[in-house]
Amino acid sequence: MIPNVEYLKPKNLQEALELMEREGSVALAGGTDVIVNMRDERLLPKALIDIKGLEELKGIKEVPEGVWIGALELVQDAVENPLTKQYTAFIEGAGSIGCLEIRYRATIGGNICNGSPSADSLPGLLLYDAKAVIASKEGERTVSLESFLLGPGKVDLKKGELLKAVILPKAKEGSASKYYRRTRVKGMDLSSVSVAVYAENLGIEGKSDIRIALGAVMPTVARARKGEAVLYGQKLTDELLDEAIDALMEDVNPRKGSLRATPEYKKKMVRVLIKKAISEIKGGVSCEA
Amino acid sequence: MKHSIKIRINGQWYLGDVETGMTLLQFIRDEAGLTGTKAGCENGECGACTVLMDGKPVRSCIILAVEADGSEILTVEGLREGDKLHPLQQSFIETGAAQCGFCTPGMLIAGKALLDKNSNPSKEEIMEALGGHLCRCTGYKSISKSVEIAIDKIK
Ligand code: FES
Ligand code: FES
Repeated sequence: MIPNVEYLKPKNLQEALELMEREGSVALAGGTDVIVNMRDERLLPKALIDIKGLEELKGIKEVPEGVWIGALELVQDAVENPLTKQYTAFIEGAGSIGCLEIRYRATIGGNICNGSPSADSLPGLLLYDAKAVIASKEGERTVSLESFLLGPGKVDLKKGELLKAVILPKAKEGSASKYYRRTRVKGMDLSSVSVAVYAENLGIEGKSDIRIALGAVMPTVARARKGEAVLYGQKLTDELLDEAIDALMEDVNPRKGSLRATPEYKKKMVRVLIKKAISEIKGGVSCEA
Repeated sequence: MKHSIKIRINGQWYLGDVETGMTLLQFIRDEAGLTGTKAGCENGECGACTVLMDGKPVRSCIILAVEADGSEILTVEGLREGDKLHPLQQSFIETGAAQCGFCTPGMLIAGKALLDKNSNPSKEEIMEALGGHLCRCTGYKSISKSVEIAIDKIK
């Protein structure tokens, strides 16, 4: 049973932000998490604020910094949009959420604000240093998307605020990225562990920039900066890669008692998937002499 | 708090005063009396409740009826074209792709959504369209086969 709470559908952003200031308001977008959580009694809002009518939160467009994705963009629309095509790890990740019917309903903003440590749209976004645009009655603030993620189920939204959009900075020419995840079954499962890797000038001394983001192994999806630091600007060798993975493992501390996988399995897969992604990206830049 | 809503299902408007907690699935089955759409997991996971909402396949058990106010819904009852079964329905019968039949309405709607978008989908695209649907009887082969046969019929 879904409780019969108050349901309100504001027509514009201003109206919505006022409603979000009330105690116990929960924003409802696609509802693929909110409705499920309400039915399981994990979420009991005083009022559901249905934000699907807010045009201000829709669309995908080019902006001077890169690509602006409205929080209400449907996951599948974001995956199919030509403007996101170059952000491979993002579209591979977002494209693996649930199943087609979920992706036709779920929104990018919802996947982010649900705050899941295994959210599939996030690793790809973090690789590109995506920003979160947050709206309130006072105006807008922009923060790094990584810092927007505070913990399991927790994001940096105060009462009266809504996530308005994410901005993906321009992808550098010649950069590439890749997303891999492991699940218990093929369809309709949450990630047990996920890895996204970005590379620019892969392995070219003085220029190489390799970025790694991990899902489902920390309290939030996050970048593995200790590993990135080992690789930065270095020639890439198997030994160095192992060294980098050892370094990033210091921060990888999967919780015990996860329904989906043991910490040992997750840690092993982090290593395997990072290597897989790098060799995939290497193979992809075959035009390099 | 009741909400006055109207939803157009298979071309006909249905009006109702619904509580917030009523799902679109409940509205379709209990208010409109169209019981072709099935309630399986009622948690967004099995696909039995799939309907087309404004042309897109969605899971009616995790959408509130009030959210669907003003929308256009197609259920399995609306699939046939006049007196004739939809090619998907025909091929499901011919192939024996419905055993207990509980997953069938969802599978048919998912197939219809795919064919509306792409009249010549690849095997992979068929699998993607059906991938979120559970069937406990058939083993899926006859279902994907039926979609392929329906594609040929339409051509
Ligand atoms: S009944 Fe809706 S997905 Fe199972
Ligand atoms: S035919 Fe029985 S569940 Fe599919």
